[in-house]
Amino acid sequence: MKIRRRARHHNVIPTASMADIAMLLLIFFLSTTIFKAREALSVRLPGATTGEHFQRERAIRVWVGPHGEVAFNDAAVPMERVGETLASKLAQNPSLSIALYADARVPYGTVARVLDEVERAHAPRVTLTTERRGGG
Amino acid sequence: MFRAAGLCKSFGALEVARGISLELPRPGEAPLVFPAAKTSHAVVSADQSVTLDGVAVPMEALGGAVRMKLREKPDLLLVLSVDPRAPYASLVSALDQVKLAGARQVSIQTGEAP
Repeated sequence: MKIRRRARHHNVIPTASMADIAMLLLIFFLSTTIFKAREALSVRLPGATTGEHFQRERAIRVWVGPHGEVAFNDAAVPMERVGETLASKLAQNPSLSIALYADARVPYGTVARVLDEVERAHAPRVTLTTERRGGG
Repeated sequence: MFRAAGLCKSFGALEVARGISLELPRPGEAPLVFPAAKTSHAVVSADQSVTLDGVAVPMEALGGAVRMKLREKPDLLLVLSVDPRAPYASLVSALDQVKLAGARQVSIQTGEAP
């Protein structure tokens, strides 16, 4: 009698599509990643329900800390030099907007002085950056 | 590597923030003159108390009070004065309330609050 040999089954995991899956995952993570911008000062922004969106990278960010200290994206600046520094940054790239990141607790008088400096730099508009408060 | 970085930028990896936009006076522009008949004054004091045309209003009710004024005068011009000692948050809250009420013409008065 002829005994049939059992055919051996090799268990293999199909890996042919692994490269495609890896590529798709890579594209997904690349497209959904948000780079957190470095903050010059630690501030607590005031809350508001209204407001318009703007791209942080397309704005000159002016920070006003809780003790009235002023800083740009990268460095601290004395109050009396804010207008001059802004004007030179705007001259380099006039398409940039100005966004004010002022601490909610700082006296309005300090913010008004910064706004005067922004005006002195001939900026057409400024955005008062806020945190989203529930509602609208 | 460079392609990946470019792809990141083009796919909107730029962070978005939100805020209240203010238009600043142009250089040499004459100071605004407000016709008294269609102007309302909102004043925020150092203790964050609010008055609208001399009547005390809680900050959270400012929007409603402005809305009532807008019904009477749709072309209302609102002048907002904030005491320099008041916290900056009170300016933002007042602007927020006024914007929520639908006021289109809002001016921030500079200098000492009356």
